[in-house]
Amino acid sequence: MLEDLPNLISDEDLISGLDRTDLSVPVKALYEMFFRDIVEFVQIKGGSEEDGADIFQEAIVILIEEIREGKFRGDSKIKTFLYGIARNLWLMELRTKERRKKREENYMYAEPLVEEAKISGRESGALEKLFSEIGDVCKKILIGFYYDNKSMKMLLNEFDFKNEQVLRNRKNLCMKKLKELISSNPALLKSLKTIYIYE
Amino acid sequence: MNKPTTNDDLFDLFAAKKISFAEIINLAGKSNSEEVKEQLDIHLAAAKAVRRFAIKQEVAGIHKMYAPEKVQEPLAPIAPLRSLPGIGPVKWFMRIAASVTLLIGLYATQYVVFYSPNKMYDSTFREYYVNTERSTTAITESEISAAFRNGDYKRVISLFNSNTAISNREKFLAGYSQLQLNNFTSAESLFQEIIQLNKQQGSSYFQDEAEYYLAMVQLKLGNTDNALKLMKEIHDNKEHTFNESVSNWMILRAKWY
Repeated sequence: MLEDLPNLISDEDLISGLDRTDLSVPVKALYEMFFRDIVEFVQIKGGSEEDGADIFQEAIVILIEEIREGKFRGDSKIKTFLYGIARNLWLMELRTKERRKKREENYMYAEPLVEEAKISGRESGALEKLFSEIGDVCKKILIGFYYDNKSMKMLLNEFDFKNEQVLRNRKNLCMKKLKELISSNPALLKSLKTIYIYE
Repeated sequence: MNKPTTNDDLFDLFAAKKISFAEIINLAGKSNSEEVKEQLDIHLAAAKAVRRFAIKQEVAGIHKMYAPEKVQEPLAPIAPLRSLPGIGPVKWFMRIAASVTLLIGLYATQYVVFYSPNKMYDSTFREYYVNTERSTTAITESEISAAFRNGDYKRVISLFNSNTAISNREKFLAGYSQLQLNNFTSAESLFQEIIQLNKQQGSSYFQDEAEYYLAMVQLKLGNTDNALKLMKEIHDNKEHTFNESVSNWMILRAKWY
């Protein structure tokens, strides 16, 4: 059981756990430790329990991305980071609901905790829609290659393709389709772009 | 790891920190680094989208255990239909007419969503990449190839039109470029020229490519009978370069048109 987790898992352990392949244990720990607090925080700001839950889920995804890209190294506490993300996500939600003017009065003097770039383009369902459009086979190939870091040889055992080159061609076609869909959603593209130094 | 043959392969190697940006430019034979940067940015963004989606899926599994159940908005009660006075004999006719309309609507939706030539084109189309093959017109070929590799299809066509000494290879690259620019009739003519020339000369230079992409053009032009004929030929010829790209399922779908 995870009831005693808040006292057992340090930020350092959580960060190293979220940087590994199996997310189930550290993510469950995050839910046990911070879910209720964040939901209540959103409720205090005028959201529903459902809003709070959705925002917590998105905040966890952002935290994992930040850790895996080496951008979150524990300079601030995970709790502070999650509150910051949740707060900005909720502000964005309010904006999209055209209640910006009314709500901003409450936040007028607050310093932004997390840059807006981390949360823009994360409108609910955009990514899911994109992946439903590329189809199941493409989804599985791309997740296998880019997320599970499987080689083409490993993936070939999981799919009914004649050889590695045919699978590679299919993967490239899937990427082509995905890139076209992403390019047609500038906000999403912006949220996905990472600044690289080309050397 | 096989030798990288496409820009995607090179971009993946860059993401894995196995090659530098300068090496991408060098290996891809590109001169316009700004354009490559842009392509690379979108490639890396797409790879990140895959990772974000996968993380979301993993988190969603755990989220269900903690999140409140989504409450469905109650549907507005539907008022019972009232029969209009004096239309008794017409009622059955109206019902039949409505059913027929519904069936036609369903068929049309199914056609557009699953079987339309455009849908089939999208699911069948295979991107073409230039290899390092040399042609007899070396100077022209390298310029056209470079433009093709850069995805500069307008320049490919311009170079093609400004040269008289052209082989099937250049003709094919120009045809494919016309296809990418949605100039389907021009693409059709060029692919047909290749097939015709091969027939006259008893050769098969770029024959497979011309046949496959001509089938794609026929789908776009709505000439589904021609597309089906070509696809059957490709499917029946086990030696055809694009044999694996034309499945039984596709032939079956094409027959629905």
